Amino acid sequence: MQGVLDVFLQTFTLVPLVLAIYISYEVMKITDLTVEGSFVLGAAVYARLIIEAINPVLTFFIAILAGLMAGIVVGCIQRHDKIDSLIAGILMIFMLYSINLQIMGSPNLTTYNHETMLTYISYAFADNAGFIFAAFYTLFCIVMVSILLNIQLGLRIRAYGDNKHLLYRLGCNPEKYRIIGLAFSNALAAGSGALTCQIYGFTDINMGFGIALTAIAAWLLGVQTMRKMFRFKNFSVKIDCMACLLGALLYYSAVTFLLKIGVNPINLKLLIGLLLVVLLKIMSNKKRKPWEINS
Amino acid sequence: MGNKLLRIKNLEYTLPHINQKALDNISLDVEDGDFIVIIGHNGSGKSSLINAINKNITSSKGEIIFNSKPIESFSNKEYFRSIATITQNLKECLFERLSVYENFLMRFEKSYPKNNEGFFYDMTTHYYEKMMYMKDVMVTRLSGGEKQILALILALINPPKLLLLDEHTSALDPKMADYVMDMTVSAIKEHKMACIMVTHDLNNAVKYGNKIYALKDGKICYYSDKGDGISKEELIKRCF
Repeated sequence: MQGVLDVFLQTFTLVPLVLAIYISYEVMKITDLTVEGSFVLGAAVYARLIIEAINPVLTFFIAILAGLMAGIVVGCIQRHDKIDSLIAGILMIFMLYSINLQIMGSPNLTTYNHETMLTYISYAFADNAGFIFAAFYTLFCIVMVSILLNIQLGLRIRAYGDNKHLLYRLGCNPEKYRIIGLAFSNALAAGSGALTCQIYGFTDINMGFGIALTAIAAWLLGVQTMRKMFRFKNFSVKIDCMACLLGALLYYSAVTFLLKIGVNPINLKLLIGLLLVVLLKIMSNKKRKPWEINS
Repeated sequence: MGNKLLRIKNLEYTLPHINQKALDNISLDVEDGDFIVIIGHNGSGKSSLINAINKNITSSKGEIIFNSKPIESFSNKEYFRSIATITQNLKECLFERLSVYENFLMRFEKSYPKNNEGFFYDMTTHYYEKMMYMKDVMVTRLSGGEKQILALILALINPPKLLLLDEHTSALDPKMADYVMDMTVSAIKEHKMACIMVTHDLNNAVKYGNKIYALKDGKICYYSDKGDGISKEELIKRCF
């Protein structure tokens, strides 16, 4: 039972990040790797301010705000596509590495003995405070993303990903939607980082290493599975959010399964890679000929 | 003599990489209610002309005046509310990964979302009833003709003063092309728009155009205001 709860806990901490990747990668069609930096940024800001004994709720909010700022900065760097989004993201990761070290003051910080939001929750639910908080926060993120993509602002962000030029001709400024979208995406990533720090009680400068790829893998895994299950053709926020949740769950189930059967942790990533390849192969449409258009 | 809607004066445009003039000293007036047809062989500068009016390219010489103001002085919002373009390449006029109804919503300014539904049904029943049942279909899944009709309907949500058509029926089958053409012409009459149409279809050119310009190597090589009752054969002889 505890094992299952752990898998869900890990899933919930990753889901906001998968949603961040979903917004930049799928909705806006921007390859934005900045989330890898802003994930650590959120955790760093959170840990630092908790150690400074600032109100945990406020701290969490500030951590998310820091991610938002990172998103705005990367949006400005990419402005008018003068710098490719991939390069802009990589440069941002470099810069954020130094910034994160400055914020943290040391390569890692622990928040075990300090008062966090979990301390409040544990008064009511002693055992599973982390789990409950993570579940609520994930739900909150999913609701926020659903609301965002259902209002006119969200429609325009989607339109940005589809056809910037036409958006410009309709009298909207595409750069505005790029910045709003990236800010939202990076805020989600920072929230995920802060949540991770809160639950595991520590922050490490390298905790974001490869996390963007993990999130992309989880998103692809989720969306492939959902497509297989529902055969949906139109855009649907609900199904996409479900895909994020399912993808993260499948990913961590695979990790836990491999560790449970006694795989050497050194080979873990190799085996996860292989397992995901097999999983995606099984789920892909076998009858489809390679020259047919995938639909 | 109608009011001059668009004036193009001595327009020149040089293609940047090959240093060749795509438009050479083009002058042309569009009056209210005009249906101008531009013909010419491939590479004669027809699309460059449309692009110049559309602010997609900046001319090296000459000016374009819309409603007695140079087009540079308009904001994008203002300008593209008065000028709509429908091209053969529908990626320029539609959001392909959005549904038909969402494409409608993108054209509305403020009121969003529910009160627009009635308007959507009115527009679609008026122009093309089948579109009503495709409300939630993604645009990529429509056929070429349906996309073309959708682009036209979308352009008519806020009827422009000038409609630019760049070979908009050339990718359609003859029946659909006629249907789209009839629909375009009736919409133009209904909203009293002026229109510039680039086409290779000389039948349409003779049938609908009240002024015909032929381009060759970026220059206007032939002009007719239809007073001479020119026929299709004559047009081919003179222009190609």
